[in-house]
Amino acid sequence: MTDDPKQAVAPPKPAESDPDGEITGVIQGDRVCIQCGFNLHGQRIVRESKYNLLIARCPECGQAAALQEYPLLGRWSNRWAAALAGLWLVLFLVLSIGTGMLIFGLSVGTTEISAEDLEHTIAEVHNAWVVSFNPDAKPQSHWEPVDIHWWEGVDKAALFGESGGVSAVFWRSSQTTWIALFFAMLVIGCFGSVALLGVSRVRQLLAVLFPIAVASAASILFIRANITTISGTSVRPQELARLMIWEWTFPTTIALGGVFLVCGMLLGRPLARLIARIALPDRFAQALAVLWTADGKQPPGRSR
Amino acid sequence: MAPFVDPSLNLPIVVCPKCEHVSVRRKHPISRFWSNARRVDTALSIILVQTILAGILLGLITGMIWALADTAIMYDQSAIDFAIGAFTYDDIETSSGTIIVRQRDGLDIALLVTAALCAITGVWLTATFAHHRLARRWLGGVSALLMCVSLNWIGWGYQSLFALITSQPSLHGVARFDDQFNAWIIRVALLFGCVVVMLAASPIGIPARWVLRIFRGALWRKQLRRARFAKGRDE
Repeated sequence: MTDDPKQAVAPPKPAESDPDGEITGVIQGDRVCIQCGFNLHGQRIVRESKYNLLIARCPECGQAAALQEYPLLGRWSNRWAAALAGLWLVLFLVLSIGTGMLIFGLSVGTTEISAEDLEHTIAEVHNAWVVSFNPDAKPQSHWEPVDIHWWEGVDKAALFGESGGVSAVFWRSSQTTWIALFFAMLVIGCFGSVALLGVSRVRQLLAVLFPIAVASAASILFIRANITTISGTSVRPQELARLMIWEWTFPTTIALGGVFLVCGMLLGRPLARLIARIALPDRFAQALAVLWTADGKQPPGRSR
Repeated sequence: MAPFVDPSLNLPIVVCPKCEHVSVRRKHPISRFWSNARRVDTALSIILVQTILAGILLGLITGMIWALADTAIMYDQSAIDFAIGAFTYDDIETSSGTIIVRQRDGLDIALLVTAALCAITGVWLTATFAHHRLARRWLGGVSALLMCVSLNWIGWGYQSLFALITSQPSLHGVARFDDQFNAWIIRVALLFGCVVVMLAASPIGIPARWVLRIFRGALWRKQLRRARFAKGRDE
């Protein structure tokens, strides 16, 4: 909401006139009527003839709104504004990092779930290899470690294909974690879109890159840490399966997270406006007029 | 300096005795900020309450419709036969020849609960959504319910799409179209019954709206009295 007459006044149109006096512009910010609470956005600013004051008339109740103000007496309002801006920035950073970590967590979950078929296949092929030289050997389950020397000689592409390949990975992901990712990112995107009301659409979409970068960085660190932990003579099929599919699951899940976040960002404001229009009478919706004016739209109940 | 109220502008005017510059005495921005914050708070509170109520009523009605439709499918009955039969307390014979006593399942109570929920929804829509035109209000309410009972199509479409893309339909059973359609038709039939009950109960919403208005007015007058009392005490 702006109270600064310089910001609120549009370029004057000298040819127009009003019963109160000369029209000097229109109110471009949000300003509610002091009597009835109607939002005066878009109303004409008039220099009235009696006191030479800049005023705007409320079209609902006729009350004049003065546009000249005294300068602020104290500095505390500015201090509070700076503190709130700082707090807002910290909150934005924390939420962005949290969103990035959520995408990363869902990428890990996607990898875990999608690796199940592959780890069973690895265990089965390993069992067949063990039986080939020791027919009395007891079959191992998929969580028991396999010989790393055997693993180095295995045709990994054929093994991956045997377990269903990329399509099986994507099928499992689509039925589990991607659904959660979709809803989580859509809700966060909608919230972000409304929280960043003063920010342009392009900058809002650029803000999506921050959580994506966080998720990507966390994923790279996680994968590097996992690769370095594989040492010794044996390794569990679960870890091998994860290492084989992460190159599919991590980039896809992070990219999808970004796409869903952008969808949420694009849907957020129209959705918020729709909810406000459905739930509130125009009189109450005036208080949330910023949802409309931020996108250059007319608030509800506007009567010019 | 004490301001004087100009009758044509209805604003407190102050004229500087030295330079004769005219200004309007206004509230301090901090107090104005709080009054705006209160207005936003009121609007958000209404949205919150209405959203919660919508969620509860939609969720409960959809849940009941879904459960009743599943029971109707289990009994191999059409929605109308099922609804009528629920109150007859007779044994019925399904196509598989099984005799089932309806009374045991409490279906009559389930139908009455659903009807009560629909009646409450009808009253709620009439009492609190008066700012929308009648047709729009009901179209919105019925569309929301229809969307909720049709959610199975989203799940089915999503599963079928991914089964097609990934060629993995055998990993998880994708339900057949016919089964989905039959279940949906029963749910829509039950929804139609719900809408009839809602419409029948909606006239109760008109006095309910008056009561709400009177209550709000009383609350506003009470706040005004308090504010005037506090102002008088300060002066």
